[in-house]
Amino acid sequence: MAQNDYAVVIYDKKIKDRFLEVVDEKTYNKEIIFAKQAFDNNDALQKCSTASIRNAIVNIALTGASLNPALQQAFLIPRKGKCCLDFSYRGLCKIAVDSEIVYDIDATVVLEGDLFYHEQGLNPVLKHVPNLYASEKDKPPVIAVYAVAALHHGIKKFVVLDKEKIERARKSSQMPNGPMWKDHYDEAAKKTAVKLLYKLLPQSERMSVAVKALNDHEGLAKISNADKLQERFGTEQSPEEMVACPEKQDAMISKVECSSCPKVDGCPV
Amino acid sequence: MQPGVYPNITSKDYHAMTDIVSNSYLGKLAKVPACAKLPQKETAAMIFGRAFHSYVLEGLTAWNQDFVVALDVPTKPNKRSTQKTIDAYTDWQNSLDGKQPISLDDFTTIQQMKNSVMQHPFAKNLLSDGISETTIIWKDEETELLCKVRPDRIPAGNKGVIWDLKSTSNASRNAFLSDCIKFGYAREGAMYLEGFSRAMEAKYDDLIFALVAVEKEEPFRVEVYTIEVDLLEYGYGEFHRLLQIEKVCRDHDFWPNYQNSGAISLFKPAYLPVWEYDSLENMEKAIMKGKYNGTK
Repeated sequence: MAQNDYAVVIYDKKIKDRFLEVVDEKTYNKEIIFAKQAFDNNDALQKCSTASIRNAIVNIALTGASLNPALQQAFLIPRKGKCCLDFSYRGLCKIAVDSEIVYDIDATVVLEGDLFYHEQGLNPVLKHVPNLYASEKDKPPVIAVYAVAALHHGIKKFVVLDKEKIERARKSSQMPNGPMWKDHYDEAAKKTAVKLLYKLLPQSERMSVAVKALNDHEGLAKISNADKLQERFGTEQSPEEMVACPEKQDAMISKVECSSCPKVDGCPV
Repeated sequence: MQPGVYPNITSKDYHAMTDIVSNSYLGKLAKVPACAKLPQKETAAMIFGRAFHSYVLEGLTAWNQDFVVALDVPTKPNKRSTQKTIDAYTDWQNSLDGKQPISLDDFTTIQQMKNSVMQHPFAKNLLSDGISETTIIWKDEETELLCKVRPDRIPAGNKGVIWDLKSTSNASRNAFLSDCIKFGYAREGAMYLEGFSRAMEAKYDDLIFALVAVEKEEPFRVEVYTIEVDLLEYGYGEFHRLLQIEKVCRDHDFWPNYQNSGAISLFKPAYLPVWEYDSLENMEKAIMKGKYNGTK
């Protein structure tokens, strides 16, 4: 997309119309400004496909999350040429509470050395006594994560993910070694737990849109073998290897052309 | 032969291990068990495919050890040929030194096909370093039969990928998908991945089977395909079903030339029309009207 064309897409009337079906004009103006700021400060976002930009911005309206950087609920992120709407753990919790499917929802990581006990079955029990640590440097490794939701009639539901399950979610994400898992492991693990907990809760359209948007670009949704193959080999064209050909006065020819030459057997190259 | 990975087994030795189950053997068994016991006849298409594989995967030097470009091929003698013709043909055959002759036209086609693969932006990456034509042998736990595969290329760098090169008349998605079913590429993929996962102790689900399809006619279209999970599952099921059949045949030392010992119903396929008497009546009227022009 040419420079500044993204502004045309952001201010597209169709996007505005979709926004106004769900939220008021004040919220639209506010979110569009945040979106524009995000694009202005990110060259990779500006190069994303028009359709993906449109989808991402419309999803902000449908989920009710905000792009306000101070709130840190949702972000626009470029991935493989597509603009993706990504939610933080905080954003997901806000969407769940706003859509009135839960009274409260929260997730916590369990660290090595914490007192942690949970039981499933007819009388589920969850007990977590965190062990305090002196500084971030002394922080023990994460061994599990859990998410708890309080429903309106007082019942609490929770999911617990052990380290192996967290790692499985990390590996199935599109950027298992990206900045999110590398620098914000706790937050990413909590988000995974909230996403899984959502499956046990009464469904809401807002939350479904958010979880689908996340799964579409972040894992849990199946990645095709074709995508995996391209990831393992890269789609970048490797520069063609050239060799000097004595048959052509040492002019450079491609290695493919060289290997097809009938005189390759006795060739000094 | 013990289960394991054998990088130095030649193609001839690999095909000589007839007591070990291969994908091509299962392909014949799938038709009818008796078919599996028939000797394999090498068709012109198979020789072309072998020459193409050797040229792309091993290069010209290795190709020259097994193949030779035949420029002046003498007339093939028949029953009424003179002794001179027979002698000329025998001399020419002796001069080949046991190598397989390939016509100049076919050799040019093979060269163009290779160039086409090397110019494909992604296939080129797959063709980089790796091990070609390694034989993997393993024992199926259920039937205790030995199975063998010989994937065209296992790329270097522990990428968990196996790919095969396929020359085809049509490399488009739909046509190649039908080739996958017809020629058992899905079953082949499932066998490759199972053999590889056992030999290398890799996780089956993490492995990818890819196919590089190259057309045999200009402009030598090249496409890279991956066999996705559902198709692999189909291939896996077919592979193990055929292994069970082979096991029963071996146990009883009997390979029947039928699949069903009773009678099988044939039903009208949905695409055939239902003949109606109305249409016959209409047709009769039309014939009468046309022939007698309304006079009868």
